[in-house]
Amino acid sequence: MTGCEAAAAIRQTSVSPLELIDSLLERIDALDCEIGAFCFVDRENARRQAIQLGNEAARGIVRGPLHGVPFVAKDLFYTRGIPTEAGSKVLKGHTSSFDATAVARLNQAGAILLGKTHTTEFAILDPAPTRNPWNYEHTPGGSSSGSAAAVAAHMAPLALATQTGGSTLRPAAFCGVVGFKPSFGRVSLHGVLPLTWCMDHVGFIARDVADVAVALQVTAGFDPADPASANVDVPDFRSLIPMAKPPIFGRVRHAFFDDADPEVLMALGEATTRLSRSGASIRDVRLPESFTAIHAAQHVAGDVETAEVHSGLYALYSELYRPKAREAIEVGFLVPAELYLRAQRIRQQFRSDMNEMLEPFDALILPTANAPAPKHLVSVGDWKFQSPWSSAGLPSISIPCGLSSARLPLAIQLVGGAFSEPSLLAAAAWCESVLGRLPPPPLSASP
Amino acid sequence: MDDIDEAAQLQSSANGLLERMLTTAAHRFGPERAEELRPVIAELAVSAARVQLYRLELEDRPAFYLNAKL
Repeated sequence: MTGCEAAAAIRQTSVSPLELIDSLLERIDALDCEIGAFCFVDRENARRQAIQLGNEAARGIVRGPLHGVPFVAKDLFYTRGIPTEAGSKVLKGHTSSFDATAVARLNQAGAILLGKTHTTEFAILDPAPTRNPWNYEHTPGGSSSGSAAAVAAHMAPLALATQTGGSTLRPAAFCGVVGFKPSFGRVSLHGVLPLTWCMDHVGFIARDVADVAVALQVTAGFDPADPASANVDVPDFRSLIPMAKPPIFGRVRHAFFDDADPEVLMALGEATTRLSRSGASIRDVRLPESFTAIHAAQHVAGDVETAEVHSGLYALYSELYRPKAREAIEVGFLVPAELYLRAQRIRQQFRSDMNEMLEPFDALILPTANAPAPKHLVSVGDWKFQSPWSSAGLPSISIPCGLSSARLPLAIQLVGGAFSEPSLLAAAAWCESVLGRLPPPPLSASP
Repeated sequence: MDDIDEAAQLQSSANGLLERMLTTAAHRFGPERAEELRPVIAELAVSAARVQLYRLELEDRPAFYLNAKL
């Protein structure tokens, strides 16, 4: 059951929130010892809230569009009274006194926090102990590893994630679910442990586009507690789905993307053929010159900010950091100041160039990742296909488009102009209706 | 020819930045740790060189928070 389907069933009182929570807890008990998506399951609180929300639904009281729907949050989101450890010994036992704004707004919309999910340490590169539900020998991607795996394995319908490079879309693609990163500033980062200040985003993972649209609907909007929060209108994203007419896509032609695994390119070709046959207009586009420097700019700006984010904790606990996190922090201290500033200038130029290039299109279309989930658990895959859009603060969404020969999910990525979420989500929903959804992964317990 | 010149310039710039960052690393973390970090610093030096060599105009301003307008 998706989040929207569950919300409808709860409103009609055909399912109670407690029945839903208990069925998910049963599934977590059956599967998570193998998958390792959760670092904390808030069993008693979730059941207590489910009883309360069920009583309200029975009396016709509905707090919001996610009344009684369970969600999980990556372990970077502050959750009052529940540990937030970011997958690190550095924060062992750390508990915040307030909820992150995104968590609080989901709660206000009636959603129930079911638990916290594993992340790579501080959303850097040391992997989480999570396996891909499609094949336990493969990485689920990261850094939002647990969020993607939990949704893919039907242990939760909706997850909060984050993305600085590709940490929402890539794990979603590897796990065969929908991953969505709104524009920079669209959703408050207040109460989310940062990786950088200039490129972090809240993201959402769910099993269809409608669910991420609802999640955006209830979490978007200005938050004075976040200095990067955008004071822009929040349209009714859900009413724009599905799109009235077939979208216009710009298909990215750049040598960079030709390096993708042949199966990925074949899947993109098949997907664009199907979309085109269903009426989508697909025109080839070339990326702007500033694209050639954007990965480098992200590398430089990201490492510097990560070092500064961690400077205080690192000074006290450097020996508790895992190797890749420690390296990333240490090298960030070494970058000359003028190059950090140049990197920020390149980011601004790329964003401006991309917004101009995207004007005639509903979205760009390209593969989400350069390959299916790699067969190992020591890294979380390549972020290069997702990171330019994070660097530019542009909204992007990954939707599944098929399975590889090894029965691993493949996905396409759509990228829109800044604050173009209404048309981007509508286009994604249209694609989803043409391409269909993947079957659930071959797990032993049934949803 | 242009590509070869560009690659050589990038390499030269990256080498210079690598030495500069290794010196800072040795001062900050000690020579042994600096050597351990050499491969990671070398990767970062290539990115830093790309950033250094990318042509910008005087009016190109930096982005910190991208939504500043709005």
